[in-house]
Amino acid sequence: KPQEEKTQKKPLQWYKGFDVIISGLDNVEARRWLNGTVVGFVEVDEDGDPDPETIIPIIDGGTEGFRGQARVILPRITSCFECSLDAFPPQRTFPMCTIAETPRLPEHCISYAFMLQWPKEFPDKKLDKDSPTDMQWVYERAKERAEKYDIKGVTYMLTMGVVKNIIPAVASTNAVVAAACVNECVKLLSFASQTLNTYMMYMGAEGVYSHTFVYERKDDCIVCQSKSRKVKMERMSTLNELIHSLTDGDLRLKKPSLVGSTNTLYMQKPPALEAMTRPNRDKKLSDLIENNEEITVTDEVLGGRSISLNVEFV
Amino acid sequence: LPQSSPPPLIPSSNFFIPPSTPSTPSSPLCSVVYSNLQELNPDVDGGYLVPEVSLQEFISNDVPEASTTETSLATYLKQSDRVPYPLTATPSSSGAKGTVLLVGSDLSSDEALKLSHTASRLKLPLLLVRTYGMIGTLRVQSATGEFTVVEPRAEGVKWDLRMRETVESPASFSELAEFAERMVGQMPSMDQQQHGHIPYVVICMEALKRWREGHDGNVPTSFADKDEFRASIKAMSKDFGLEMNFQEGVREAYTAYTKTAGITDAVKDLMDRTDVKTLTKESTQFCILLNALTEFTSTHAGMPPLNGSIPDMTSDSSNYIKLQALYFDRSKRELADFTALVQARLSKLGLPMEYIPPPSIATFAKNVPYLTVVPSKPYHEEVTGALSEEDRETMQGLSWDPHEEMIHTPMLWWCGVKAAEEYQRAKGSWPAPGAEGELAATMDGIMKRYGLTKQEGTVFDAAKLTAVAGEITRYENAENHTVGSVVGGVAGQEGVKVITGIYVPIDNTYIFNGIAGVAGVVKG
Repeated sequence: KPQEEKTQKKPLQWYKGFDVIISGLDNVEARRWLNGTVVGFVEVDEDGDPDPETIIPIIDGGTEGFRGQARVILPRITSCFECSLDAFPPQRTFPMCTIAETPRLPEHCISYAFMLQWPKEFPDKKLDKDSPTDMQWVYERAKERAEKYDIKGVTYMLTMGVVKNIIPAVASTNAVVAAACVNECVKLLSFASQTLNTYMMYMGAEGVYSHTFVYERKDDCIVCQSKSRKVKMERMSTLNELIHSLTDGDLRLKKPSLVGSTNTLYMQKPPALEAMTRPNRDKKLSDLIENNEEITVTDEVLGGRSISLNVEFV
Repeated sequence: LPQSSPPPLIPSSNFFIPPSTPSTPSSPLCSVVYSNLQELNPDVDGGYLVPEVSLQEFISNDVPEASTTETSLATYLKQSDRVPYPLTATPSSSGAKGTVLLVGSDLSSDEALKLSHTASRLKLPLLLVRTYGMIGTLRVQSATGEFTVVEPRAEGVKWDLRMRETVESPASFSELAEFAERMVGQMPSMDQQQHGHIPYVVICMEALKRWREGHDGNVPTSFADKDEFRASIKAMSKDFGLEMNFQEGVREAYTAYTKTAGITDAVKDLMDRTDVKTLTKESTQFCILLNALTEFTSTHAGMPPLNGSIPDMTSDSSNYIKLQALYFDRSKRELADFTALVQARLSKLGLPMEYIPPPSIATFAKNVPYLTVVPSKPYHEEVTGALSEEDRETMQGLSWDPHEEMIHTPMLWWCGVKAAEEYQRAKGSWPAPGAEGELAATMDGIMKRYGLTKQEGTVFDAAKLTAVAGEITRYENAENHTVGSVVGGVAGQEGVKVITGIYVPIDNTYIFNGIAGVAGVVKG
């Protein structure tokens, strides 16, 4: 039965009921959440071997214009989605001074409208990128600015593209990648043949280029490797600085919650607990935890999976 | 390959039709497919036809006068009100009417061959799609023996800025020369903000002008020259670390002393073709446009029409818009000149102006540096004709770049399916278990034609031929829906490329190995 809600809103247990999961999600965060959750289901014995009964394969497909990829993730056996996080390029942004002072392209005008004008006009309301009324407002402001500078080219479609970072979809690419994913699914469910090992790339603009290879596991992947992650922090640094290293560093967490071995350090929710633990953020780490203490971190992008940090004071 | 139980294959039938669907004269199976396809896209109109004769006869029966629409494809195309006649095979990216694309799906060997012949004769592009068990193949055949791609839309823009040309000859682009001179004249009186927003085009042109004055009119040539040139740009700045425009100038310095792409060697070769130099009523759009381009360049210092687009660059808004406008205005004027040349040719040849409509002329003019021609040998030549030395070398080269797991290399499976087709043509049925040995020998024969011999440890050895032949005999032309969807998606993509002339089609066979999810292109 088709479900209609955000991937991350479903209870973790619901995902346990499936034999195979095919994901065709439209953003990285939801993929990370799903990946973290499903990898988290896998039970590993004392020797470090995963229990096959707890493994649910994820077949992940994605496309962008004429490019696409299909990959098979066997949690704890092959590389997982988090292992390949570095492969995702940063989103295209424009320098703020260009946006604010010297716009030249229609994109600059649109960025101005949604990045500067909206927060000024609606300080308490977050822009809803899926709301036609909100997007219409952005489009009209962008058009006004463009007219002022004699810049042509602001359209509603371009507005959507810039705000939502959209690359137009090509139906045939979607067909190829979706079909490749289903092909893998049928083989997995029927044991009819081999499984894709593990990543198939597709590029269809210039001829057709395909490359299939094993995406290697990342040694220190925070999701699919059990290892505890060592973090070096200065003794005098605050919990806040530790939290920032998790969000701004290569782990790219969004809203981490941290629990020490004997006490709760900081919880993002519920609001009452957040308020209670918020003062901890300004405290020195050495006042909160011991040297080399194991800290458990959870985050919305990890889904049901938690990671273990080992903080060493330097 | 796993020797486990055979895969649960769907019996050879169209997977669009539920197995229990009956076929009656008033409601043939193709009508079910047709209505299902219509559901997918309500914007597409369609129909179906059940020929009175065998499919093979229908395809090859090319005597329009003596035939009815139900007995001849050529007659059907001629008389159908959905298909404009005379058929023109050359694509138009403006979407002008007149393009027919033939698609043959899972045909018998002989039907595929016949259709390929007919497509060549009628000058129509053809896609041959085949789903064979876990293997999917797509053979693309152009109408005229090559694909002329006006809009490859390759990555990497070749900006048409004409900096060097304008510095060497200001009269060739007087608007740009004057704009630059005016700004340079204002430089001494500019404040910090203004100085930091001079567009790099002006900076680079001025730097090049000064360089030439100090070097007998020469541009930087040696490595030392180029380093010195970049340093001279840096020296023009007041605060290099803060002035992004001067940083851009240094970064883009090579575009100042290098000649604009203009007419590349590849395009020169195209202009030298006999079918471009001599035009007839039958000439393709591509050839007529290239012929006009030749004349245009002869009166425009060897340059094609100005593209007119410029990249974004650090600049104040007002000057950027002015700079953008002067490139745009000039490109419009040059396009008008080029259009006149094209239309004069159409007139002289007695062809209608709609044969190459203005939007097509504009697209061509903007894409001159990118024009690409992809050869496309007809499928029937691959099967019954002689192979060129080039074809053999290409195939041999491919064999030196196998997949990591050699057995899954696409060319092996291409060969397997091709051998099945040869077998079917000879025996009238697809190879079944028991025919492995014969099939392996057929595969060997095919590869020998391409100059490849069996060699232990390579992609092409006895063990692999046997394994592939064994797997192919298990399929017996079964149509797996998943594999069909993959190769169908690629066919859709290639079809749109062929019709629109945008993006580059393959040369010439795509193979999808659904066992391992490995795909590739083979030039058959």
